[in-house]
Amino acid sequence: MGLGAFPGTDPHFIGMLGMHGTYEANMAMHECDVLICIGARFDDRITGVTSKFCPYAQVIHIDIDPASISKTINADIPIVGGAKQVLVELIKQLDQTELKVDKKALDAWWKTIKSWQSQNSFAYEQKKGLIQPQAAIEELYKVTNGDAYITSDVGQHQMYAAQFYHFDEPRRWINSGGLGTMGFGLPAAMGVKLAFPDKDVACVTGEGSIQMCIQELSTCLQYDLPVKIINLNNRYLGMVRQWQEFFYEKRYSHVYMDSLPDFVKLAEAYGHVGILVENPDDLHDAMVEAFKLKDRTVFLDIITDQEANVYPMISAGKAHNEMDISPLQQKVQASLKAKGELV
Amino acid sequence: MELSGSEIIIQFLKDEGVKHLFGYPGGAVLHIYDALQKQDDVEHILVRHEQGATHAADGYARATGKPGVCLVTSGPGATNAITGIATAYMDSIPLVVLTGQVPSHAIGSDAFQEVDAVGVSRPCVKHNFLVKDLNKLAETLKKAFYVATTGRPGPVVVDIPKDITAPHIKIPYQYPEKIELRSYNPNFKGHPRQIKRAVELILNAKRPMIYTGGGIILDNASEELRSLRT
Repeated sequence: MGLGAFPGTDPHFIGMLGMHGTYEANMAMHECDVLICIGARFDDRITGVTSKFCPYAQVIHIDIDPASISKTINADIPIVGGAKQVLVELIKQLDQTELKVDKKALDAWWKTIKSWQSQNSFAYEQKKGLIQPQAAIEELYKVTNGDAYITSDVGQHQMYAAQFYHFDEPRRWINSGGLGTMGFGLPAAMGVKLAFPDKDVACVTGEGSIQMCIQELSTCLQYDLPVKIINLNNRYLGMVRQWQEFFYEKRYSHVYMDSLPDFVKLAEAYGHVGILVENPDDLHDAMVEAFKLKDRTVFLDIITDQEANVYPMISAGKAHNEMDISPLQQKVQASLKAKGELV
Repeated sequence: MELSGSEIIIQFLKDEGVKHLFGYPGGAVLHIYDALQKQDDVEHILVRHEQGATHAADGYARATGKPGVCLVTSGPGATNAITGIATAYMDSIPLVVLTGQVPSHAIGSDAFQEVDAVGVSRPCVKHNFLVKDLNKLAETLKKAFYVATTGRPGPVVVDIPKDITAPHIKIPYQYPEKIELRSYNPNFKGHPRQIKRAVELILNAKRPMIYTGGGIILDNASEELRSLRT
C-alpha cells in the first residue's frame, strides 16, 4: 500500500515486503535488529506467521490509530500520531542529537542486503512464442516512462504490477490491498482519470477480475474517460491456480475460465478500441499504440503463459527466511553455494 | 437562504468543495436528483452499478487525497455499495456515501427497496449516520466529512430518508464551518519522549529497517520519509 511513498528507483528502496515481496526485503526484515514501522499495520500478508516474524528486532510502531498498535505484533516503542508530524519531530531530533550511527555496522548490513539483491528474485524465464505476464508490466512501465497512474484488480496480475512497475511518486499505485476486491480496477481507473484527465491511467487486470465490473466500460464512454485496460489473459484464475498447484497437488478446481468473451469485440461493442496481443514480438508496438490513442479507451487483451507463477512466495506457516523461490533463483543460489558465497 | 433538504445536500457539497459525485438514481433519491439537475457546480457521474460508484470514488480519493463522494438509492442501491465501502474501510480511504432511505414513517415496515443501511454497513464503516431531523441535516453532513477525512480516514455512510429531502419543506441553511464531536479527538502529534527513545534506538541499530505503509501516503508524508534517509 505504501509503494511510491519512497521512490521505487532509489537504491535505498529494497522492495515490497511480504508474501510476494523481494527476497532482499524479506531477508532483511527477518535479520533486522530495529524495525521502524511508519503508517503500516503489520497485515498478515506482510508478517507471515507472527510467531516467526522479526525474531531479532525491537519494534518502533508509528501510527495514527492506537487500536492498530500492538494488534498483531508487539510494539516496543509505540508512538501514536500522524506520520507527517511524527516524522517532522523525529527528523528534528535526529538532527539535534549528538549520537552517531555505527557506520561500519551499517556498511556491513548494506553489503549483506546487496548480496541478497543480486540474486534477482523477480527474474523470470522467457519462453519462445509465449508472452510472460511480467514482460507485459515491464513494457507498460517503459512505454509510460514510469509516470502513469496504475490501478489493479486482484490476483497474480496485481502482484506483477506491484513488483515490476517502479513507483517513484505516492498516489500512483491504486489497488485494493486490504480487502482484495476483484472488480476494483476499472471503476477506480475511471475515478482517477476524472481527477487527472491529462495523465496516463492504466488498469492492470485479469480476465476474471475485469468481468466483475465490466459494465463500467459504458461509463468510460459517456464521460470521456479514456483509460487503458491491460488484461493479462491466462485463461485461469491465476492466483487460485497457483495455490492449487503448490498446496493441492495441481487439483485445479473451478479455476479454468471457459466461455470467455472475445474481449476485442466486447470493447468495440462498448465503443472502445480492442487490441489482441498473442505474440511476444507484438507486445511493444501494441503497448505504444494503446497509449498513443490518447482519447480512446483501449482494451489490450494480452494472452499470457498459463503456467506462470508469482515468486518469491512466503507460504502459510513459514517465516520470512523460508521463502519459496523461483527455479531461476534456485539455480543462482546453487551456484553461489558451490562457490561458498551464499549469505 | 431557505432551502429544502435536497437543496441543502447539493449546496453543502458545493460549500464543502466537492466537484464530483458518483452515483445511480432511484426512488428514494428522486428529490435529490431533481436538485442535482438544476445546477452545474457538482458534476454527477452516472455509473452502471453502485459497486462501480464506490470504487470510482475510492480511486478518485486515493489519487487526489480528497474524499470520494457517492450517491445511491435505498435497498439494493445501498447493499450494492457495501463491497466498495468495505474496500475503502480496509485501506482507510476517505469516502462519504449518501444512501437514500424510505420515508421516516415507513422505516421498519419492510417497505419497497428498504434495507437497514446503518445496520448492514456498520461493521465496515468508520462511522454512519441516519438523518432523523431536517434541521440536523447540514450538521450531519459536516460531521460525516469530518470523520471521513481526519485521524485515520475511512468511509462514512449517511442514510437519508426521502421525506427529509422533500422539495416543499424549506428551512434556513448556513454552511457549518466547524464541527465538534465530543468523543472524537484524533491525536496528530507523537509524544516527544517516545520519539526520543526511538531516535536512540535507531542510531544504535546495527541492522535497521524501515517498513512503511499506506499511512505515509494518506498523511502526505512522502517528503518527510525521503528526508529521513541517512
